[in-house]
Amino acid sequence: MSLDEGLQGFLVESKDLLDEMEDLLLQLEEKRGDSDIVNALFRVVHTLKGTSGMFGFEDVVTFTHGAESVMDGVRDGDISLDDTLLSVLLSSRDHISTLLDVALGITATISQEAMQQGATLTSSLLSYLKGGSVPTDLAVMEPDPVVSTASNRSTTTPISDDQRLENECWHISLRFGMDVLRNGMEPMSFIRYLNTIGQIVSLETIDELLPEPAKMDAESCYLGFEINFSSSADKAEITSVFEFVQDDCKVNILPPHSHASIYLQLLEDLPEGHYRIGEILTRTGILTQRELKNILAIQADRQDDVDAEEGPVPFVGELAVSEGLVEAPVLDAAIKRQEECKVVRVSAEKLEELITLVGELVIAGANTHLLARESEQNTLIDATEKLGGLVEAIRDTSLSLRMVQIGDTFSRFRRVVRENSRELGKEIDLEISGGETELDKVVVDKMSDPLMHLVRNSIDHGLETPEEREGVGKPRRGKIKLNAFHDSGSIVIEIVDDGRGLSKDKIVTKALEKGLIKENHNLSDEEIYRLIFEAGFSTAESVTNLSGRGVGMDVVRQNIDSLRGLIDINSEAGSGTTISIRLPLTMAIIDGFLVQVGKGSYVVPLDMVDECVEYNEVAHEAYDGSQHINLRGEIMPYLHLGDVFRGQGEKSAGVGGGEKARENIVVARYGNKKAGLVVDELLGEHQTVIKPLGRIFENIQGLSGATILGNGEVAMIIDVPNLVEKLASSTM
Amino acid sequence: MKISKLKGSNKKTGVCNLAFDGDLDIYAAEETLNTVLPFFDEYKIFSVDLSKVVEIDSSGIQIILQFHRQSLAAGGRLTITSWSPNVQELATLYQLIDRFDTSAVA
Amino acid sequence: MSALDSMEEVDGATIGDGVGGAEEISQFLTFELASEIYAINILFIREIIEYGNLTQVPMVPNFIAGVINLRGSVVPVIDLSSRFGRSETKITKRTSIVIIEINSDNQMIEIGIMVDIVNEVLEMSDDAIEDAPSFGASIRTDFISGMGKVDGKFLIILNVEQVLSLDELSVVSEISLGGPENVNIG
Repeated sequence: MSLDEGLQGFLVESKDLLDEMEDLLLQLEEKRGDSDIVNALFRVVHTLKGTSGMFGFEDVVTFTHGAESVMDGVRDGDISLDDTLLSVLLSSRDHISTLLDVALGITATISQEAMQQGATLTSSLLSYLKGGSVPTDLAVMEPDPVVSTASNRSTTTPISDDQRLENECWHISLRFGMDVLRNGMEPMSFIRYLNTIGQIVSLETIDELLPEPAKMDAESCYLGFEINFSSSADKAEITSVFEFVQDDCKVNILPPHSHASIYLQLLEDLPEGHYRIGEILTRTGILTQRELKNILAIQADRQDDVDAEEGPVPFVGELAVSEGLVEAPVLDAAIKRQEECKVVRVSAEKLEELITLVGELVIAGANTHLLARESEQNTLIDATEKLGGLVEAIRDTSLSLRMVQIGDTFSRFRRVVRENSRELGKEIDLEISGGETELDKVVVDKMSDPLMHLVRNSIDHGLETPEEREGVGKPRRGKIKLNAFHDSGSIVIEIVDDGRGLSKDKIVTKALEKGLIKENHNLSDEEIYRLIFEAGFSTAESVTNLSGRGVGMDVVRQNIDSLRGLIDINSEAGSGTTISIRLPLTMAIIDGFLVQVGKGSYVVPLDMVDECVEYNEVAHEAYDGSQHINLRGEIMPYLHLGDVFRGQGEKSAGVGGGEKARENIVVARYGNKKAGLVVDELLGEHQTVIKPLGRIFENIQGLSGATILGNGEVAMIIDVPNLVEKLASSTM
Repeated sequence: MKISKLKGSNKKTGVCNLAFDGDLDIYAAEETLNTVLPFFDEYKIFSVDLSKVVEIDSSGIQIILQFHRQSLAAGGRLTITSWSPNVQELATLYQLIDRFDTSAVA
Repeated sequence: MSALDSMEEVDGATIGDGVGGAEEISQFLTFELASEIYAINILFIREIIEYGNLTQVPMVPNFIAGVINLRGSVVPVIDLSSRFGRSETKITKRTSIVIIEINSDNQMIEIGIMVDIVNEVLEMSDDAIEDAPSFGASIRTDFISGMGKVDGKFLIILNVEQVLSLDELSVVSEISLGGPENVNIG
């Protein structure tokens, strides 16, 4: 599939619009009467239809039109927004998505099922339109009462200028700006698109503004059009066709049966002169000869008045607004669009490439610095240090490019909660906080599935039915909270519910049944909770629609493991469960602290390093049956990395534990826990480009990746929380 | 864009027979305009064959309209002898078919 | 290096004598491991590098010799001898790492294997290759894709996808602590 740039842009934009639509619909569910949301929703649907039309995706336009008309009715208060309609609109959003996929060639053909779905949706949308008291298509067409200044003056004219004209069509007058073509816009697309929302009865191409050939700039646009247009579309819809060129094009849209004064204003406003345009308007059947004569008469009369009073002729813009030609929401949308232009869209692939290159730059920089130091030339060392500073700045800036807020991911769960809770007959509120917390897009993308499972799990197993809740004295509506925040170089995501909590007994029974633990286990509460993430474990007593989806909680853990994340579970029977996931901020480059253990170099993420102390200088005490260090009164576990690593991997390490040089303890902190790592040597800070270890090491715990040192050698990155936790559990 | 002056062109009679071959769009507009600019001073009766025009957009139509304007201003005529499908589609959309004398096709 | 030299020789030779007609000819890299000769279809082989600069990975089974930096990527190196269930490879001057490329879930993955000596690249026609013996082989029979006979000597053609099956290689950390006195974690 190859999309040209325009389509690519459309693809991205339409996805955003669909997301926005969903989000707005879900917000509406909570704030039913909020007119801002209703307006925003209308605009989104509207823009979706408009842009689809620009690309000639007629199926999308046709279907979306229905949804738009209904939204219009809702906006006007003719249609009330109930649960059913919200559901219909949500499904319509999905159907638009399906249609777009087909239109864009992402899916080859539309399935029979989807077609059926489309037909059903269309007919339910239609039923809303018919039920409405005012047919929406006519609702906006009735022009506003005449501008007062005009009617006052009309007394002196032979024919009143608020007389309505016979023309039953819309009149659209377009004068494209000089830069339209240069800006990549093409007048014919707009005119073509008009044909999809109505019928062009007649059209006159205006070329009066073409200059002398010698003065003509071939890339400037000199064209204008007078169009007699028959359509049941409303003003907003016709206006929106030209939304993209609004700044570059003079657009006048005159409703059918407009007042003569409006036509007059049009004549006055156009650059070609009244008579020429008048001629065109009569030729195209927009005005009758008689009407034209009248209008010109009014014009002459008014001109006299103006001359006499020196009062200003109403400015066309004012008139347009007072006549309702330009609608405020449409203007808002145009302004919003302009603001969006300040943001540059970059493909994820290009960013990925940039970050890979920056990684290589960091490694090459480290190598250069190493060589400079070996050369012992001070000027060279200074130069490489300066370079190093810049590389670091580039690294930070490029990494920040890939940081995104987690809010969008959270918002998606509104729908999940809404639909799944309904399916299960539960009443659930979703509360979102910390949506502005930023983290690497790669991490966000990989978290969306695990989060989905956890949220579903809360809905499915965690929260009780309204009756059950009332029975135990809780409010009927259950609550799920999604929260995110930064904490010492990690991001923590919490999924909190106020449901029944995890039942230790049930978990233990189940785990015994499945052979996951032995009868005489001695597990702590948290370890018991953690069993739910074991492969083949599921607490679902009845297979519901949700849990039947095939993927279990063990996959959640695998995904989080692969992100070097850590899961914490807290639960209290009867009052709810909190699952917190601690994740690294980025998967690309981190500040590391390099240490030596045996012959190998290892990296500890610098964010986790609290301090380094000499091994012999701290007190060691036995505590809770094992050895701890006492660091200024703080008791924490520690481990000899040499012993841990030598177990298998560090073959023939040579350091048989005999006389130990001055060992150091690196005090690492993660979350609210601390642990000491005893290492042979401290080598200092190191910009660490994280290289994945590949599939073979996917399930390894205690190591989170590798990096390449200045001298080209590979060093392992220690995953402190996992290593400590793993060792803790292996001593059970 | 290749523009060929065909047989029958004559400065004395003011007759100019042209054939356009290639794209008549914004990317070629400037070059095309520069090529045809001298013709407006030398000729007034234009016959233009557009059957080999592949792409056309509004900038291209403007040049054709300029031919029309200049020929009328000089008391001459513009005849489009042949249209390519794309040109015909756009000219139809802009309702220009009748404006240009297309008797040669009809 | 000798293996690369011999690869070039083969490049220069005309492939297929044309006499036999339809028979398929494949090229294999042969190498020695504990005095036995093995062969791998050269379609799997990316390159051959000298043994060196290997970083050991702690807490993994013995058959993983470590990782190397291959032009900026971290590539695991398998000790083939351990993988075959024998003792670990003894490092000599001629120890080489053969970089193999295998397809896993539509992603090409590079894995190095340690061998004692790289021999040569040779051609064998399909009908010169016999099926793997059902028993009596010195390594797991599913590791063998066939037996070739060259100059009267048998060599084992390895089933690379099986030998380097990611599912089998994929390791779970083997954390073990030296003894109870070292258990510092509560």
